[in-house]
Amino acid sequence: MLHVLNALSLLATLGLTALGLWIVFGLMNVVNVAHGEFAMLGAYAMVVLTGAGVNHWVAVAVTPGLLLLVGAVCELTVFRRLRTRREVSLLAAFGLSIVIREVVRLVFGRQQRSIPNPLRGGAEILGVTYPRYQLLVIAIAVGVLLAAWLVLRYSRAGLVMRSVVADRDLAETLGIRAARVDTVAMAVGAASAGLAGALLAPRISIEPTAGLNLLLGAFLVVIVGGFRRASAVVLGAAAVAAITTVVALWYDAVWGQVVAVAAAALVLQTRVETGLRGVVR
Amino acid sequence: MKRIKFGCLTVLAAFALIVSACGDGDEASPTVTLAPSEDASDAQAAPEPAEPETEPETEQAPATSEAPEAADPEAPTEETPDEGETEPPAGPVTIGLLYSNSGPGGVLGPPAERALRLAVEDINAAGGVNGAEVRIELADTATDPAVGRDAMERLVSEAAVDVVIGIHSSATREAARPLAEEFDTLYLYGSLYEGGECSAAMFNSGEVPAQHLGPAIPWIMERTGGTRWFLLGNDYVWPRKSFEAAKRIIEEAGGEIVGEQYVPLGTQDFGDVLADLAAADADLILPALVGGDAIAFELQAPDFGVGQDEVARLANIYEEGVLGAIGPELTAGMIVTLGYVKEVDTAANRSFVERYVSEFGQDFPPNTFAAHVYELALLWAAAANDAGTTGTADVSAALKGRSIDSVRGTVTVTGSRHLAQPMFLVEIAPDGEQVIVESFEPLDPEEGCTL
Repeated sequence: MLHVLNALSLLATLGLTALGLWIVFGLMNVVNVAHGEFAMLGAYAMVVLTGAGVNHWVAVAVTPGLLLLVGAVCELTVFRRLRTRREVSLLAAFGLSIVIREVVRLVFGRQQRSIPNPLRGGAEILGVTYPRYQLLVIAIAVGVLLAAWLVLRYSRAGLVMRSVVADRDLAETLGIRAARVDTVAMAVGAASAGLAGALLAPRISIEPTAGLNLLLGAFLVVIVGGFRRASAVVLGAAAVAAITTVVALWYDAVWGQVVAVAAAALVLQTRVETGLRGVVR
Repeated sequence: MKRIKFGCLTVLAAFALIVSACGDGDEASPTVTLAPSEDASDAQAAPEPAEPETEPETEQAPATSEAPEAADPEAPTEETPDEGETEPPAGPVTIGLLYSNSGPGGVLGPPAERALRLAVEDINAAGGVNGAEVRIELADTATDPAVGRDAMERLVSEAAVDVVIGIHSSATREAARPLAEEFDTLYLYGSLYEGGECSAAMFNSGEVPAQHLGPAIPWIMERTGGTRWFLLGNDYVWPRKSFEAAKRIIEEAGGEIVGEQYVPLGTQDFGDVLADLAAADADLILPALVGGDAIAFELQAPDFGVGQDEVARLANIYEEGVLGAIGPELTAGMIVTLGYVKEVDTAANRSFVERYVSEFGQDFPPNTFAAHVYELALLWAAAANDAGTTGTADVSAALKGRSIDSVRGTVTVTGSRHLAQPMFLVEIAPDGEQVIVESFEPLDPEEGCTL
């Protein structure tokens, strides 16, 4: 039972980090390798805010807002100019990730940080004791993923986004400003990464390279889940979490990761033939 | 339009380069994880320009050590050795430091580098090595054996250093040792490690299991009354091999192993491990976790009911930085076993710590790695002065059996190419201070190397 909850908790973490990556790839066709750095910035925002005496939950609420701005600025200054050349935007994102990492290192130093856990202890659930904070993160992740799906599926904003993805030129003739949709997508992607970073912050070692680990997991999810449907993030996260947990349980944690990566490679191999172009239906 | 794009990219690339050049010289080194997807190729390419930052003076270190015409007029000649037949080396002598200054083990870097600077100040103040001024050449391993191997190659071939002092992982040591042998350069490894190293080009001063765990395991079992051990380590050679030794020591002390797990370097989610740990009903944990992994583990453990208060730790690699990041609330009561902590109460150590802090500031205080680098540099300089040369074989012979009164007591190089050294058990106080609760007289490494 404990392991089922662990898998759920891993699923929540992966889902939250992968969501933004998936949005940015799906809408903009940009493989944002700086996504992990956005999450890392979210964790550092928590260090600064809670360090300044801001209530933990207020800080969690503020952090995505800060990252919203970071994402918008990055889109306007970097990615907008590279819209038509995806392979170059990948390099730009890689450069951006280095810049963010090094700036953080200059500002905060390379020493690891941590923030106090606001919700200590375990709760009795399904016959086992599980960390209360993790249960909360699972709940928040479910809420966020559900909200993202609802917005994309049923709201006007979602309709606009989907129309830009389906046919950019046609959408523009209908009066939709596609460039603005890009900015919004990148900003929302960064904000969701910031939220993931903020939620993970009390449990991880906060350091300039923290984003690299998070990016890896998110990539696996997006590769395994695919880019086509909004449910892909949840399915991908579930698959990766299940593989990692089951193998770790039966064999060991190292092989859990190896098998997850191998599964992603396998999926990539079979998917390449149908093309990787992201289409949100 | 195209030009604008390229301009933008160039500016970005340039900015990235500038920032990474300024950033303490540690190029953002992607952790060695299995990168899927396109970013793999980028990640591979990244660590390549990691030209570690060197002090201006060390940057001009000559490429060759012979340079005979450079008979430095200022070189103090009265220090030349008595043996007339060994020709005195002219030009500066260079100590290379191969160290983890970025990547997951990057926090090891600053104390090692600072301690070497202090040691070199001391050596030069006492007349240098064989009359020549000693210089430093730095090489960052980025906590990556492949990068470390290249860094070692640069030290021993291009920079032609006279000796290499190493503070890095065992995995990097395995990659670097063949180069020391090939270029006949003495390689002094100063990190605590699993033991068993035996090469004519190497000395190993780090705490080995017989010292590091030998007395500490029975001590903590007696103190806590616990017998059921859970061994948890990162998945690489040091945790695996030192756990082999730990199992023998635990068995001899009448304990039993109730769990043994290894997690990949860079693990940040310990849910499964903690679930097993909670189920194992252990009394004691030996956590051989490095850096950020240790921090994540300790932050997550209390919520599973296996924090320090429930299951006592014998921490064998948690140093200042890691303990500080975990925070005193979670570390209070923890026992740490190390060959040196800055609280060692000797006059020599107090003045060493004072000097270190006044020169380099409060961040990255001196730790066991710093003590080892400091001792190794002094031991080597003394041996090279006695031998009248920096040749590997002669200095090796002069090193064996050599003692110095170090900041933590007397340390002696053994015939087995290791170091007999004192050990300390430290308890973390509720305010985060480290209190020495037990110290052991210099312990023999119990290594069998006969080279």
